Amino acid sequence: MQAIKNFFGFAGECVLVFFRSLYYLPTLPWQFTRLMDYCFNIGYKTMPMVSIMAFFLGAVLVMQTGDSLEDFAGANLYLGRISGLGMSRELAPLISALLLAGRVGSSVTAEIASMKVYHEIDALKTMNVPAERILVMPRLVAIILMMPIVVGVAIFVGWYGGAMAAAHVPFIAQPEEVYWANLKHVVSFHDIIDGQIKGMIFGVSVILIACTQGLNTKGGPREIGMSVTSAVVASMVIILFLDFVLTRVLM
Amino acid sequence: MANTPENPVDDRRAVRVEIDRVSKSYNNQRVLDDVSFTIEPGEIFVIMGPSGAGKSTLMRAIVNLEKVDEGEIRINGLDAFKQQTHKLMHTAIVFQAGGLFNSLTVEENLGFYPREHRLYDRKTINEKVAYTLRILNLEGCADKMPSQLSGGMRKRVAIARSLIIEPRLLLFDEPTSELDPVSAANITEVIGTLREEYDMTSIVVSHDRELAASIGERVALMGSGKVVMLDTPQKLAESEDPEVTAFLKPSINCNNPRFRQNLAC
Ligand SMILES: Nc1ncnc2c1ncn2[C@@H]1O[C@H](COP(=O)(O)OP(=O)(O)OP(=O)(O)O)[C@@H](O)[C@H]1O
Ligand SMILES: [Mg+2]
Repeated sequence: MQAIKNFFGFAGECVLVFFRSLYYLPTLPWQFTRLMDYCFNIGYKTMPMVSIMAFFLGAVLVMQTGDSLEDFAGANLYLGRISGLGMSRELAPLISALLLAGRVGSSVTAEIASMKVYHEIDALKTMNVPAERILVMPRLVAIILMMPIVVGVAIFVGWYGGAMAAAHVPFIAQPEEVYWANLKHVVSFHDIIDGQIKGMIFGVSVILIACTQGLNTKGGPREIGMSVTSAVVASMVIILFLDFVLTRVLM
Repeated sequence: MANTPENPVDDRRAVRVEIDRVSKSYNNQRVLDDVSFTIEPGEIFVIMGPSGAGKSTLMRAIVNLEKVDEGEIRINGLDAFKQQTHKLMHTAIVFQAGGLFNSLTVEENLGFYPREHRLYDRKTINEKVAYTLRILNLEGCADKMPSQLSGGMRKRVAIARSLIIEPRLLLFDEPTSELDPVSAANITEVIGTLREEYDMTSIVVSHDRELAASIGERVALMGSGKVVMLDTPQKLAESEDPEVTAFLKPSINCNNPRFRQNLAC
């Protein structure tokens, strides 16, 4: 019972933080440097890992399906289709968001929580600079700008990983051209947009949860650690839940 | 009210702070219990009292970081909470733990407020920052991070950052705690002389009797949420009230055999 109450309380607070941040959107032009900083930070922290993960995920996806489709003669022609749709509609946004939660979300929570615990947020308040204005809003904008790039890279690298596996794994040995032709034939622009919408919603949720949890922290160093853990766990659960809902809605 | 300005908000002069029957509890523990006093514009007002007396809570309430349960805090006659006076008038607080922005350099800490609110052009801000650093003898530290500073320097940076705001009310929460006697005297001197430079009311929370005696114009002694005595530092020092002397002249129990040989008992 208490857990459900906490959940809705926290969700409500996230919404509140979101709208308060929106209110400060007009101050964005003055915060250009900060925005660039946050964008760079997100890209730097996620891009390399997302690329590696997407490459291997694409390759494994093709290998697994290649293996299980072997019994059906000619079914291997659909490898491009499977990796093409699976990556763009599902896996690329999902791994990007999970990685974002682990690498960016955790550090955002830690930073804001320690600012809260060491009275920096209080100092900001007395200076009439609310935390939402400089810590949350620019990060939300940064994630909206960066997520399409991260997810886009994940999609293409994933496809490429699939192509490599299709061409070079002996029991599949499908020429790359066949794979790409099948992929291009099936995957439409619409599928990529679906993935991007998912990625964007996941990304905003991760940042919002991370910031709200950070701002909610009270106590000392131990509580900072606990906040980081709960923010990451909450983000991952929410991502998977939203994924289910969005997949249904976007289908 | 001779000193109250005609327009309480736009005037740039020191403010009057009225604490009017203020009470506050944390989980049924009464931290502030019917506290009332008035601090006159330009005064240096010292609040003393044992740990847990509610001094920090009162300070946080004055700058609207904490809401009081009962009573009112008025700044120049405006209700601090209802009218959000910290947004209207320049009030600043130097936190017990400093509250510096740890990810910014000293220079950026100082320039934060005017830059964020775009108060002046870049050159003026840099000049103001340099000037404030000079007042507090911090010239060499502009590019250092707060973690690279000593405790005393950090306190001075926190004071400098508050001065940039050109406050009309500046609160100090234990500015000299955790400092050696030389640095403590230095900070005390700084607080005492700031009034010549800035037109502001200062409230200083401190355990430091020397500070209270040298710069305090009036001293309030608080104990468990109440004001025990409020008078000039001289009167406070002469007081015979056991509650006052217990705090001002504490003594180590001479009957404890551990201490007896080292103390002139
Ligand atoms: N956020 C809080 N939640 C619960 N209790 C609190 C909170 N803040 C302060 N208190 C309690 O209020 C009382 C007064 O605290 P306060 O910090 O005002 O004391 P203080 O006079 O500043 O003491 P010190 O000299 O040690 O700084 C303490 O007993 C403390 O436990
Ligand atoms: Mg205190």
